[in-house]
Amino acid sequence: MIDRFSLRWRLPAIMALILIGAVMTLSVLAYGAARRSAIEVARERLNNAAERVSSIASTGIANLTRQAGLVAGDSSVIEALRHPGTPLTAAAQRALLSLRNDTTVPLTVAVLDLQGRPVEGVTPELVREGPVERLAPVDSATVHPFRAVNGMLEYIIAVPVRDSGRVVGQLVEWRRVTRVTTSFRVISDLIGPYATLLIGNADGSALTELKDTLHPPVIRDSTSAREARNLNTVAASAIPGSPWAFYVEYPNAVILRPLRVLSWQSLLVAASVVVLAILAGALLSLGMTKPLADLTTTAEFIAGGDLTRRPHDTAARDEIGRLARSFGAMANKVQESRDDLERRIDARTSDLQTAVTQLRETQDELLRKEKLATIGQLASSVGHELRNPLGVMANAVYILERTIESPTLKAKHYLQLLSAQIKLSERIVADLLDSARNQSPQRRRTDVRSLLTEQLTRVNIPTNVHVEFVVEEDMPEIHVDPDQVGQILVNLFTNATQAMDNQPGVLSVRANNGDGRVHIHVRDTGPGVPTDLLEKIFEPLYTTKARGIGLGLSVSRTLATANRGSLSVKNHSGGGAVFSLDLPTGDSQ
Amino acid sequence: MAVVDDDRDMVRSLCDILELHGWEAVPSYDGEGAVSLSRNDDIDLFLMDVRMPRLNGVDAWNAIRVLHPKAKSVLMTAYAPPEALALTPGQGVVRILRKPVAVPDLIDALESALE
Repeated sequence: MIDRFSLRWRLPAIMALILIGAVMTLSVLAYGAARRSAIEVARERLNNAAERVSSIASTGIANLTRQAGLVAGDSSVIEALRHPGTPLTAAAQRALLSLRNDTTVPLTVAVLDLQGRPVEGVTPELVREGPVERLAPVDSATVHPFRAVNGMLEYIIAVPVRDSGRVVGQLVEWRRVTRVTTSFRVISDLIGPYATLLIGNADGSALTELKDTLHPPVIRDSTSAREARNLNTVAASAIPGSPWAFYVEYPNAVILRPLRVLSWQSLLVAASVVVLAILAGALLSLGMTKPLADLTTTAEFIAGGDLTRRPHDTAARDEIGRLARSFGAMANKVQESRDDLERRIDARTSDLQTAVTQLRETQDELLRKEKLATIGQLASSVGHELRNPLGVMANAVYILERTIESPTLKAKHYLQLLSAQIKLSERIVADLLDSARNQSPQRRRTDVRSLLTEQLTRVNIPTNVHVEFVVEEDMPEIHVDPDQVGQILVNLFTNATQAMDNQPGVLSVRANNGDGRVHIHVRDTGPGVPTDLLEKIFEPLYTTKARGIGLGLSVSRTLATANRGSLSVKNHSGGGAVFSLDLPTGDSQ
Repeated sequence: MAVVDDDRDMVRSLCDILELHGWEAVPSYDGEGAVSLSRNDDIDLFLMDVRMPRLNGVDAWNAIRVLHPKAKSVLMTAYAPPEALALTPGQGVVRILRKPVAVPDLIDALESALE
């Protein structure tokens, strides 16, 4: 689709308009100048021709007036005027007839007295049709202007008749333009077939065209009118010795024909130039606007968020090329900045997530500790309060056993049952108080092997459980509170034993040294810990046992942490659970 | 000897056990009672709980020693470990027993005190 506001189209359009305007103006100016010049040249030539024709005509008129002058000087003619009222003598008749010997024959020849009256007695050959008009006397040979009569040009030549130097009358010839002389024809041929020769009065009236024959001559309208219509160029030349003039008309169409041809050719050339210029302009504009359009598209893409887009036309060494390169560089910077920003945001987000995780863990730990502390207080007070009643009950059983004389078997049995249950209760209370005891560890160097051995003996291990005991040689001493770690170990051993639930199994206790720490692994061959409970079992009051209050592992973990160690659990691939207790060595502090 | 504890059942049962073993036992249910008993020269051994309301076992024992320097005692405690008490066996305290006290341990301690 053409966008009419696009530079791609506007530039060539403007160029085309300017070019067309310039060419048209120049053409009009040039054509006008050339036309004027051509017409002037033609007019000059026509003037020359007219002058030549005039001079020829002038000679003819001079001959006519000279002949008339000769006849007017004839004594018989003068004599006729001396005696008015008497007819012309034969001699005078002959003299007048001599005027007919010329190339042209006058219509009428008459002798007029000073009043303009014709002298009687002129021969019929010399008299024209109609009455002879009266003419004013002349004192020199006079040629009268043409008159159009019955479609023909007529003129009068009058010469004075003098008697002893005094004008006594005049000799008058009425003549008609009847034919064209050879000289005219030659000149006409010279001027060319398009030229028209006219003769008429100098004031432009009574014109006739000079052709081969003049019957009937065409009376034309005024030449100035014709020229005013711009059809012809007209040259005029007055004929000396007469009130007449020759006119040469030449059609402008003929004069301007070569100019017209030239004009068309020029126009064709100009049109080609304009078309070429438009094409060149379009190409130039395209060359200029294509990179701009590319830049615009790229900018739109970048604004839309696609920062990978770059301008294609960056090779040009002109300003647009530089613009494209600068734009590309700018886009690179923008992309780098955004990437950098994204990286930073990612890093910060990751930091934040880590912090949040740590915070949550810390919070969980705090909650766990708080829970433990509350439980500890409760356990401690409940434990102590239970000890007295248990003691009283134990005392009571003791007294009963010794005071009842010959007790029944049943009584004995129940006294034993009471005694056993009291002992069990006392042990539970002892465990509870142990777990609630929250003392800071009294750390000292402790031998791992002897600690493990000692604690193992404290646990009642069924005979069908095989104990596997592997402690590395050269084990370094650990730096812990032996009582607290002992409590952890007893818990782990007890748990492992209980996990095997009186089934035959193996209790594996291994200790090794690595990374400046001692790792103690306690493994059983029980069912293991369900994966979703691996962490939960360390929570206070969580237990999987039918009997137990769920403090052992949570207390163990707390104690491990207090001793700068850690306690974790996982399921062994070969079955059962493995509790791993990491403890600091004496070297690592 | 005197059996001192704020738990009356405990005192009575202990008295019965001691009588079973041939000893004469006088019950007392608080520290003040124990101190007043000490004025009686017949009583030269005190089996006394440490934790009691008002006058506790340790303070009562210190008071008794002032009135009756030759008296001896066996103390019982459910709470603090023996070493935490500001007492040493040399101050007339023959033994400090952890509650719950097993009867054989008790008899053993009393016998060694009466020697």
